[in-house]
Amino acid sequence: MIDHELEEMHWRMSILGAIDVGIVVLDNADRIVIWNEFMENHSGIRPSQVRDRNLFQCFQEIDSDWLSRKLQRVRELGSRVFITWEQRAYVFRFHHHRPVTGRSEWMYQNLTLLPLKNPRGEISHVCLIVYDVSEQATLQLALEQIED
Amino acid sequence: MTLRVTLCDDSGMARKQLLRALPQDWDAQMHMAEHGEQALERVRAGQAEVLFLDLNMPVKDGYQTLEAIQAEQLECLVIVVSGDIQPQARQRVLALGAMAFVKKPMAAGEVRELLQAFGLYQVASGKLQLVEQNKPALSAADKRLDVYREVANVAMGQAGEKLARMLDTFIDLPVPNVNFIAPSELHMAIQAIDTEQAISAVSQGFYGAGITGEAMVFFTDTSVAGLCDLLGQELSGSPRQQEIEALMDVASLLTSSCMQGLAQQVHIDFAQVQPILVGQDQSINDIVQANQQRWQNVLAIEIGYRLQQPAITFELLILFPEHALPILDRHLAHWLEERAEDSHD
Repeated sequence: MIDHELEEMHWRMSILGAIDVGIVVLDNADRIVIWNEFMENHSGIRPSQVRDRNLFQCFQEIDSDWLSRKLQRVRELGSRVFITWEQRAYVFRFHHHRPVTGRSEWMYQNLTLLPLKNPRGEISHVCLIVYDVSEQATLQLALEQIED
Repeated sequence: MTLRVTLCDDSGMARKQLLRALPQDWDAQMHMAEHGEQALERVRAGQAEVLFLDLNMPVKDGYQTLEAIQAEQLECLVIVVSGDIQPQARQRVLALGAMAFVKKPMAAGEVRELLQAFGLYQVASGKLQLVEQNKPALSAADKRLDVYREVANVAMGQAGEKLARMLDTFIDLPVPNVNFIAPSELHMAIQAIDTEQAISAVSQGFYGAGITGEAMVFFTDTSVAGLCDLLGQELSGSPRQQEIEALMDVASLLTSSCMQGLAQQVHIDFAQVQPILVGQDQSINDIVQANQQRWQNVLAIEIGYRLQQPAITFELLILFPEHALPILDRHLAHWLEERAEDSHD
């Protein structure tokens, strides 16, 4: 590999780690392939501890029947699935990023499940993108309380 | 005696809306016209004792049509149905001999009262009949819409197939409605879905190649309940959360797969933003009206999906703002040219 390509790849990895969004990549047996720094920092679990391990075995608080159905839909239909905090407050149980002044104990999350194809065009992995939407969710819930 | 009536509007969506608003027990034969010139042909052919007339149309607009009716001294009662509700517009059309001026969208009750007031309609006097007409040759603008329509058709079919798999049921696929619409017409399109029931909508933004657009899926309360039944065991949480999950799942599947279908054809990779629920706390009409100053002309692809068992309907509306159109056309250039060649044959 040429030097600048290597450098660019290095940057990409740094950026993937630095963005304030969770990225998890699962293979078709739900084993964790990528676990970025957002996920590491919020869960306290290092990538080396979860790599190649089954997501549902690592995180037993996840409703596995429910999430499996969503993953299956991504793999079978090749289309994205979106999960909002309004239908389920969170998938991964992480503490709120402001544990003291934040208005909820847990982080509210939106998730996007994205099919990933291999070079042959087959869906080989699913990417879970986890957004922290705690601010938005608590504000909206507070607003609804005022209106009621 | 059966009345001959013509609906003239360049927007298929608008004609459909008006047709739905007319009393179904009206003893009338309905003809369609897409612009003023066609409307005049209907009037001359005796197919328009009553003419519902839009104002802003290509080829010949509503004002010109009224002028021609006056000039030729044609026998025809004209009801102008317009999104433009400025006082000047009303004055102008009444001065040109229109019998009435009503604003879009027309509500069913309003139409009935109006027709009764002019002695054109008695309750249970017959049945509304729609006369099938041969499609006239397409103009350049129509051809462009025709291309969009075909692209939408393919995308819609793909989305429908995925939805059928997800819901394990048969889905009737309609011909998509593709139109350029003004803000008042978006308002109308939403009302056309159902005037009786509360509507929930999921809106999802998308972007790619400099285009930003919005896809919305509208559900009536009965269709939400039907979907909850259908997805039953897949849903979790409180009843409200189950509803949201059903809406999100159906909407994001439809939107994602339709956008995927469009993307393949126009060769633009559309990225999608997290969908949001609209219309829970605020009526959708309010949201649309509040923002209508920001945009003028929008390409709207309207697709009504219908499940047979159980009977559930919902509508997907894909909106491309004006700035997106040159980019879309560039990506569809090949098709647009091909179409132009076809027309020479």
